[in-house]
Amino acid sequence: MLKALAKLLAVLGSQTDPGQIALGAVLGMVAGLTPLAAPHNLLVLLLLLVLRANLSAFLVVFAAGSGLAYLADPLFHAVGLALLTAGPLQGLWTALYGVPALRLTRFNNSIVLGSVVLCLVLAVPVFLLCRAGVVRYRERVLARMRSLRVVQALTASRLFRLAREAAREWQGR
Amino acid sequence: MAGVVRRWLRPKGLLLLGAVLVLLAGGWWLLADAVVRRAVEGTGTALVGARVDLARAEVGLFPPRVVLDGLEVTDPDAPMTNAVAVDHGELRLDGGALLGARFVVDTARLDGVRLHTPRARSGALARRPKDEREGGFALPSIDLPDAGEILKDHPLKSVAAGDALARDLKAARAAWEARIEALPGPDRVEDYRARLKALQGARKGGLEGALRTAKDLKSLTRDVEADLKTLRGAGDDLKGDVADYRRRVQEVAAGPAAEARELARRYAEGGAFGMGAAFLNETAERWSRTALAWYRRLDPLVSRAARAAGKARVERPARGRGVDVRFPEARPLPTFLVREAAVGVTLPGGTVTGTIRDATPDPAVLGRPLTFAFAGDDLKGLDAVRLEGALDRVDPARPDDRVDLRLKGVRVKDLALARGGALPVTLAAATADLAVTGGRRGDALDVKAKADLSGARFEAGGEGKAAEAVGEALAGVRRTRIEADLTGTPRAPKVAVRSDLDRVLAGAMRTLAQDRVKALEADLTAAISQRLDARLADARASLDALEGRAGPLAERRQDLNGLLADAVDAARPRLPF
Repeated sequence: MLKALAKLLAVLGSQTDPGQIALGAVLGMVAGLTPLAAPHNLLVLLLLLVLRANLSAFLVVFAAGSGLAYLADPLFHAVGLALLTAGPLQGLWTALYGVPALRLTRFNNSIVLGSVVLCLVLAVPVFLLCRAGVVRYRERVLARMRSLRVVQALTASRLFRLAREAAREWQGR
Repeated sequence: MAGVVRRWLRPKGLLLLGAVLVLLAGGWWLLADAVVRRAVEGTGTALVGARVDLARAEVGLFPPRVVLDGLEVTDPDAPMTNAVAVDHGELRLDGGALLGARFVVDTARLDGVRLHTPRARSGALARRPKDEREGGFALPSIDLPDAGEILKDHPLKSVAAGDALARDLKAARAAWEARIEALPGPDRVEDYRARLKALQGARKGGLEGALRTAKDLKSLTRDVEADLKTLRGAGDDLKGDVADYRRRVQEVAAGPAAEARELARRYAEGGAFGMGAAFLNETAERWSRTALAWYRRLDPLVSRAARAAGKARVERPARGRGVDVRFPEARPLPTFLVREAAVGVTLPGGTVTGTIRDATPDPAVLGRPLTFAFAGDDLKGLDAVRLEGALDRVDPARPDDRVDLRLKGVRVKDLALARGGALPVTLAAATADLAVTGGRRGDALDVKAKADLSGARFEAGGEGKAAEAVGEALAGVRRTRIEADLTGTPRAPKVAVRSDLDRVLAGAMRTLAQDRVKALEADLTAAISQRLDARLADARASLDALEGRAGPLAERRQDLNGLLADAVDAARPRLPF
């Protein structure tokens, strides 16, 4: 986890496309907040493998989302149950329930449906916010930190170089 | 465009995905059979309560099917025996239903189904307490208890009747004393005499005096006659009462013999002498217990919570896993269903084939009950067998299960009817026709079994005169009918067995018991009489005293009759010379 966090910080400071980082975060959010064993996460895995989503961002957000999911389950359950029992939607659910392949998705489970729906609603805003956040971080925070004399002195020092080499060597084991 | 594709797609990821899919397929190929085998063993063991072993399982996808080889289901009551063993089974699955997470077997074929086969190793899950009732039929003692023991805490009707008689006689005596006190007595007679004497002295008053005297005499005569009538009535009542009490005294005196006879018979019938074919109860109860235990084990396979169709329903309480909401389906399917299974049961004498249809734990969803029908003819040791029935849990609140089993020409050999105990009884040989019909409606069992035995040969073991008597009586039985009724509930069944053997065995034991029962009867009579004697003597004394009160009443009547004669005489006209 710390390794993934370190990598994420490195990625944030690298030239990686902010969109790819944001996509990794969105996929991590879906996988983390929704029940892991639900079949839709196979689709998330497929997208993660096929698309250039950033894996570090995915792992960090997935881990954070998994912890948050325990707290958010009552909310997911309430939203899912409200949707599943909403009168106007009964026809839709009944029709979907009649399709065996769709029933495999466990959409009729309150937490599965509630978490997936909330994740879908949040996906676009989270994507946009993450991408904008990465850009803003690189433009303001990172640039400002690099311009600090202390940082410049530290990064130029022999000690820093040795520490970075040691870290690389340790990571390479 | 190429830039966008390069920016967003990861070609290596496709390769990775391919590798993942290959891994999944490989895992399936390697593990699916083992997973299914473990699932069958685990589920079966949990249901039966003893080990269920499966030698091999093979899962196929095209077409979807499961092959099971070497299935062994341990008999929980006999861990070294398989209740059922299946050599080979093949299940053809409904692929479409599998996509909807429903395990639907379109057709199943079970070959080489055998019952009660030996196991190489114990299939017990844990040591179970031994059923104490399996110890065999205990022959009741042939010795009768002695009279003192029987009477120790026994309330005796004869003694109670003696007490009641003494009490009633005492009350009757007191009542009669009071009544006699109120009747015309010597004072009244003296009074009448004084009136008569006065009238006799007043006869000299001329014609007018004579007429007045005659009138007074008539009045006196009427009074005396009224008193006489009262005394006669009382005398008759007393006579009646005395006769009643005398009859009661005789009855009470005869009570000890009657009560002793009844007690002796009751104790004789409660012991070995009245046991009839009680050992058959043990056999019937044992078989019923076994059958009902399997019936209860089948319960989870044929019914679980009801699911009403036509409305979305919340299934499970939310706790971290949410709730599943079920929606109405155009063609609802249970989560597990065997539409049709062809079963071949291999018995020692041949093969019985049959079909099981619509086996599901959710019959309410399917809307049809499980039905089964088996038949076999010309088997070795059995002319014909027919088994039909249904386990109807379409309405889970009102199970309606039916069974109709008919066995014709069963050659029975060395069937232990009472195992061990003081009276082991074996049906060494017989030809039996057996019919079992009935079922369960709601929670009430109503099953009737009837067995007609011909060419029977019973063998009874055990020691002692009672066992010998049973053995001799059974040796003469060639034909008999045994009927059993199973009632109560599946958890608390009641078995009642009737048989011709009851009469045969009871007769044999009665003969054996005759002398002992007579001796007990005499002892009881003497003991009860002894307890009753004092009460009876009191009663007789009271009765004599009561009867003695008739004498004074007769004397009073005699006095009044004399007085009446005198009055009549006084009224007769007398000549002056």
